[in-house]
Amino acid sequence: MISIRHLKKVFPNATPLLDVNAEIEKGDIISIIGPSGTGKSTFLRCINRLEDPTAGEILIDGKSITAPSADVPSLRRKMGMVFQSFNLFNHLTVLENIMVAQEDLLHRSKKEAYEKAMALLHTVGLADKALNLPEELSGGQKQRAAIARTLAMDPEIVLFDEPTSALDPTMVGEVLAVIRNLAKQGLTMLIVTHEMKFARGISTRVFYMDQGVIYEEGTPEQIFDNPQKDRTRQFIRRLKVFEEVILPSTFDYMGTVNRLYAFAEKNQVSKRMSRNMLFAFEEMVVQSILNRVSATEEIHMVMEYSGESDGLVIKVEYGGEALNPQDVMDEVSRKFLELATNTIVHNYSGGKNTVELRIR
Amino acid sequence: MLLSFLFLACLILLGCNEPEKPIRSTDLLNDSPSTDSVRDEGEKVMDTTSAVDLKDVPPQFRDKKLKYNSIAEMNKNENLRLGMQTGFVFVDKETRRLLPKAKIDYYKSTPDMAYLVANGKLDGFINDEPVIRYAALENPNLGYIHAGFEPMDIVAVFPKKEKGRSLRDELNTYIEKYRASGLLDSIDNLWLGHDETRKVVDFPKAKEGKPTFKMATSAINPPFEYIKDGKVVGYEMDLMARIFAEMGYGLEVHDVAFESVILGVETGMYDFAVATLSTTPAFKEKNFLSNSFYVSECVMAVQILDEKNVLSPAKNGAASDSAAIVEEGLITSLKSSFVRTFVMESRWKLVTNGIWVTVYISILSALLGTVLGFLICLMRLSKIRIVDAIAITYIRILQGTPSVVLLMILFYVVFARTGIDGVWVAVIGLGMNFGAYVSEMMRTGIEAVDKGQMEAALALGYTKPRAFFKIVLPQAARHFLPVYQGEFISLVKMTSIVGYIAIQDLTKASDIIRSRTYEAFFPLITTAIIYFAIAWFLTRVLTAMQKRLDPSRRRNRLLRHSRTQHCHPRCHSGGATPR
Repeated sequence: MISIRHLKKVFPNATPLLDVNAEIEKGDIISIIGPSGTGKSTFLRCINRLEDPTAGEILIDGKSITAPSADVPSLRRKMGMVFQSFNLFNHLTVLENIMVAQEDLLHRSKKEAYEKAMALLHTVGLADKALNLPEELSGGQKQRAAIARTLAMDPEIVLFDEPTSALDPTMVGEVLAVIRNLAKQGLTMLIVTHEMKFARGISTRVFYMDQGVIYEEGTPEQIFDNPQKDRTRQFIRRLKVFEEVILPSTFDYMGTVNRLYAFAEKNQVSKRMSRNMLFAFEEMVVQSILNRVSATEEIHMVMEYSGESDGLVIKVEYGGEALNPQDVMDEVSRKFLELATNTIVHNYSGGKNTVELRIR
Repeated sequence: MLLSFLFLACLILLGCNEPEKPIRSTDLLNDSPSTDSVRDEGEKVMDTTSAVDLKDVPPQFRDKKLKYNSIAEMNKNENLRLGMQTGFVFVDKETRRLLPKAKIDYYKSTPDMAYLVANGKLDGFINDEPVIRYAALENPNLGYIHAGFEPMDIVAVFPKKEKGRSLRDELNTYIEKYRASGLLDSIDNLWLGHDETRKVVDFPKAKEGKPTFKMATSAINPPFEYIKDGKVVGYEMDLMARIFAEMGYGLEVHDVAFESVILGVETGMYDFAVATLSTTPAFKEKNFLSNSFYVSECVMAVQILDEKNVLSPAKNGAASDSAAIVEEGLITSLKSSFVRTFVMESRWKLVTNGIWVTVYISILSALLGTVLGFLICLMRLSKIRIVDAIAITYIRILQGTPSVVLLMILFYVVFARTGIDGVWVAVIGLGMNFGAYVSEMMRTGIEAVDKGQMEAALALGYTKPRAFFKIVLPQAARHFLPVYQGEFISLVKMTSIVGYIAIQDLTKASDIIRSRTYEAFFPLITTAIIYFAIAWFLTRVLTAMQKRLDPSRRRNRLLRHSRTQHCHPRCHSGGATPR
């Protein structure tokens, strides 16, 4: 139904989309997740041309909508969009908001438009607010009205741009319930969202967007339970990540320690755990590995902290010959390191050492 | 407090003045030696005892106590304040030479200065003797003294072009013919006489095949030229009308501000000017001048100090109950002021016509300005740099130019030769000015509307222009209409400057009335009240429009409407309670 090929969008000071490729089939319900600033919204806005793509092609039912000759307004009529900030027309009542485009653009009679609007307001539970002004509604009510306005145009695809991000937590549920109902009706939907549980429950496919591309895509089970790529996993598990590449020849001990402290403090790692983390770093990386690898060998260190499970993992990767740091440290150090960690696993394959420590 | 005192003071003054007028008028006008000589003899005895030098005081004022009896006496006053008609270049220079210490203020009309001198607010002003003599008819407290000016010829002024010279030469032959036949004197007698019924001027229409000429004047100088029954009349007007009728030409009179008279002739807007203009060196150099048809001496108007006491001792003496008198005086003087301002010479026609012109110009220039402002606002919002820059330049220039100057430029320079009616020039000028302000207002209003509104409309499938008019503009209007309303009221008041380009609006009507009644208070207050009423009315209209745009009001209307119908939206929702 929609083919997106090599989509690229460049802003003067940022490039949110580098090279996006996707095929969307009729009836697909696609959740688009990913860290903020990775172009999820831009992607959606490119699809209905609220943003002009810098390069690439978007085909809808085989017709290019990025061509200069494309009739953008009629194309948008097939594609509804629900905005993060609702964007109800402030000078019109809820009822008029839903009727105005039907009358103006679909040339429905006032009666038809009215009946359609009232029917939709019933389904979103706002029939009694028909004559209210947007400013008199709560955030959740506004978003439900905005969804009704979009549906009144009988769109084939609905694009949801973070529909619940601007809402009070108490109002998120009512809006998600409305979207869930729509899903049952077989509408094609693209939903940019941060509500992971919702995305998992509703979607047929999930796009994880990062670094200007669709970084990983799959069924909700694949993405949420068994993500293949590190960034996906870190995002899904909400891991806080500290990453540093250490070169033995230019190693700045105080600098790295300070950054580790800052990382622990920022993520509210407990005192005991951050002490153990520093100890492990000191004993293993500084004392054992740094002294034994060649001066030009890069040591790649990643720390992942999960606030939910209160777990901290240190992963160290380095080349050279097989080197298990536990083997080269003295007895006292090893004892202490065992006290500070839950598990230590060393692997060597393809000329690469990996050590993974779970800090206690 | 102060204001009410002023009010009372004015009314008492007016009330007292009324009965004496007929006596004074005869005194002044029958300037002949036979009537005056009798009194003169008696006065002279008194005067010699007081040892005041009265050689500069004309005979008819020698029995009055003047504030100053000579220019030398005026020169002794360190704080001398004089009035000066704007545009009197030669007289201005001479006055500064005569009275170097005087502080000179500039006024647009003689009647205003006459009023101020009679009430002691000014020490004096200089103008032609007949003008001041005429002003003294209406202001019993006004007299004059000789200021040592040589008598000057009053002439018509023509542009220094071939066309101007030929018309001048033609006119001269008639002036000489009239002088020889004594017609000049009889016209003079008519306009300085009492027979009001004969003071009528009929400007001739062109005979077939003959041209019509445009004559500029400034009808604020009775008896030479002034407005009576809504028409320009006066000695000079009568003379010109007669001559042009005899020549077979048409004559069109244009009443403009005095300082614009010569400007209009020089720019070719008018064919010649007749406005009590004297043969000054500057005129001789830059224009063609006709032969003299009147010789007048410039004199200094001064206040008569004891006039009130001399003439109304009985009234003051009997004033045992001053409050009763004040009250009686108030009502009668209000009445007489009203009659003088509106009823006499059917001056209400001037006022109603002025109101119409003011409202007409206000509304048309507001419409033009709004359309123009909208277009400039669109240019301002344009993404094309040069278009935006043009709009900004327009706005800066218009905002930085005084409206009066803009109007004068349009009238005397841009449209000078097109013959376009002054009202349209005013509409264009004020509209251009209004547009500059409206565009900025609209732009702020439009920019205050959230960008999401436009996006939502686009996402529904609206085209950009349609989304703008349907969704963005109505919301922007709610932001800028209150400011717009204020700016519109300023525009209404700003129309008062159109008098500069020869349009008789409400302000000009009040000027004309004041130049006839020699009264400042009543016409000015009435004019202020009328402006207030116009502004108030137009504000109400705009407020009503604004309310139509208010969505909550429209909602209530919808509600009322739907209550009477079956398909009330609430019915669908079952038991929902109305808000």
